[in-house]
Amino acid sequence: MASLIGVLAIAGGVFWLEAPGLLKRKRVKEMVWFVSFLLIGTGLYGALTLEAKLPNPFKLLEIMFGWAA
Amino acid sequence: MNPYANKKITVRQFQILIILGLIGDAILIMPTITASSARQDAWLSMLVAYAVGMLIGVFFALIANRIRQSESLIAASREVLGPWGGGFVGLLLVFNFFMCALSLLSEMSQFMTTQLMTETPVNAIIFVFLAVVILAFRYGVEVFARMGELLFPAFLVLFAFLVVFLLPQAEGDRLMPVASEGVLPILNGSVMAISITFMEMVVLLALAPHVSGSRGLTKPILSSFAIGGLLLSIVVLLCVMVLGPNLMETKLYPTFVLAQKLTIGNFLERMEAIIAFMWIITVFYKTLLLYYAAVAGIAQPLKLKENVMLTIPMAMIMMVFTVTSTPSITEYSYLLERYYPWFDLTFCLLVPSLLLAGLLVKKKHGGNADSKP
Repeated sequence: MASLIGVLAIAGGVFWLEAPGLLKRKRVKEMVWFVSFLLIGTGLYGALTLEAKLPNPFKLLEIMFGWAA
Repeated sequence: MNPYANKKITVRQFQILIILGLIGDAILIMPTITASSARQDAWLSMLVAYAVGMLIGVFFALIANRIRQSESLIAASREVLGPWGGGFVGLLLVFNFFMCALSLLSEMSQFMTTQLMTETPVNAIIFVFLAVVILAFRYGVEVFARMGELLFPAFLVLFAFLVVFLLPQAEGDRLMPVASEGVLPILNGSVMAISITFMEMVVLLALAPHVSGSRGLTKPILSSFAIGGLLLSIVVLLCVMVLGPNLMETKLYPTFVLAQKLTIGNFLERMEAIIAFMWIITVFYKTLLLYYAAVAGIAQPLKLKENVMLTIPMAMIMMVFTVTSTPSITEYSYLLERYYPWFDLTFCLLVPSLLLAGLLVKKKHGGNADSKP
């Protein structure tokens, strides 16, 4: 649980670092994508700290090229 | 203001980035990969890979010369293949850069946790490494290219040091017998060398639009491939002549073992930190180039006016997938050896071929795709 709070704190820190500048420069689209990516990153990182079973991206190679190898 | 237009690097900086990227992770893992099938003929595998690599360099130069007037690689592919076709090709290239960066991060974390910092948690190592990559990215291509110019002479000095002081331990007998098992193991050994070393340098296409001046890029690209390939060939040859095929095959990082054998006058020993430093420089640059190409490649089709805000979230995603992609070195090596050449062949050669075909068709139909030799 403590590590999850740590991840949320990192995400909050990143938001605090980037968001004010983006809002000041009125970069709405950039802000939307930034938040989307940050949510994905935080979700994945949170899942990792909770020891959830996440897929191995290199297994994708097996799916894609299993027929050839 | 266009954020992608005014980031210019010189041809010399471009060459140094290619050389560092080309050496990348290969300096440490290439001897094992080539020796696992070619054994004492690993150096011949490397020479075959070198020759094929130069042809791959010509292929990349053909594309680089034609896209350098564009805003970026992704923009060029959209200009040539249309918004949908170009967008799709761009997406495939970004996926390739992302996966290659993951493989580098995995290798770096494996090396650090097994050889240098065995007690340190892998997450901490990846975190610190990615923090430096993010910083370099945020300072921009001009800054990290200049940093490359500064680090490259240091890399060359250390490389020369390693070679000169290992030469007394080299034994020509270890190269014998030559091609005793025929040509097939040599060719087998060269496949991964071609894939990891030369094909992955498709990332240079993401840098080509940033190169200043109007001179053609064929010579700079080919000379960089020649220098990088030569340095790697020397490393593999030294490994065979100093360690022999048995040690090369069984050790995970023979170049690191090679550096451990370095002794100067019986008082200066265990200088493996040299190879670790060289490897960290080259892996850092290769990862940085791939990370740069991936983040810039995501921001371009989304028509974002800036991309630095994506750096940390992307690094978080990469960090998670790096940890999950390396459950064990055995599984990672199995997946890599079995499928990675196919992945590289598809994403580093076939996908850019689509772009080149589009560029040639556009030129034939009177488009303004410039090509300077």
